[in-house]
Amino acid sequence: MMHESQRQTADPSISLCEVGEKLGAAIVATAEYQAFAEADRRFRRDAQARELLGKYQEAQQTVQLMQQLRNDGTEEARRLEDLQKTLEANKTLTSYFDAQQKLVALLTELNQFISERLNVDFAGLTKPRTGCCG
Amino acid sequence: MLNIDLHHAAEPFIAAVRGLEEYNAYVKAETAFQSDPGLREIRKHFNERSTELQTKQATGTLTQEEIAELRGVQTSLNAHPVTTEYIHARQKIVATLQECNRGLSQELGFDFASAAAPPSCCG
Repeated sequence: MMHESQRQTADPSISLCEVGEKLGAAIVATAEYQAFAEADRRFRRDAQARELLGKYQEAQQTVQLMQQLRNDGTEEARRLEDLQKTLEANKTLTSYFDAQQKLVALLTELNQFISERLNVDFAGLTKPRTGCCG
Repeated sequence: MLNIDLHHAAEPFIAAVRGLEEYNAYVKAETAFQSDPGLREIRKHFNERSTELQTKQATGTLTQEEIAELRGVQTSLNAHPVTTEYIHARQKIVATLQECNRGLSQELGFDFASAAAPPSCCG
């Protein structure tokens, strides 16, 4: 049986996987992808930024848990607010989030273009299923 | 307006998918699923009964027979040959598109679909 990735398209000289890879390569060449890759590299090298983000996410989970349990989370909420301010002042993290946002906007736009032409939500149908979506 | 290079790169991708047998089978099955008169009739009946029974449930007058009746309509909807054909065609096109997504994501180093999909109930 032919593996899916070797499946031929209407043009027998090119496989389905190849057209996907070519589109992927075109995305990699965009300024948005390159900016994100650079911001991601900087983030991975910056131990302080990684630690700060870890603390922020932990505090965020604690506040959510306190809310779910209907406990008084005033102190935790204040700590989260302080961490948010520190996070907003961190250049590595702000440029990482900014680059991520711009790349996601580009990918969303590309998906809309593809989905409109195919009349199916390409990314919506192919993303891995998690949690409530089953 | 989509980046011109990406626009050009997306065209062969779209053309390749549109040329696939499973894509055309899906389009055909989807059209039938939406427009088949018999199926539309059952769907209309199901929606109407469902609304009626929700009202009855709210007032505490819903009976077991009515629940069984609604389940019966739902079963006939799901077992309708047009529905089963549609589900089958959809499963096949989803599997193919997932393969395309894998090829694309391999280049990116992360899952394209997860990043580009519109927000769902899972965010």
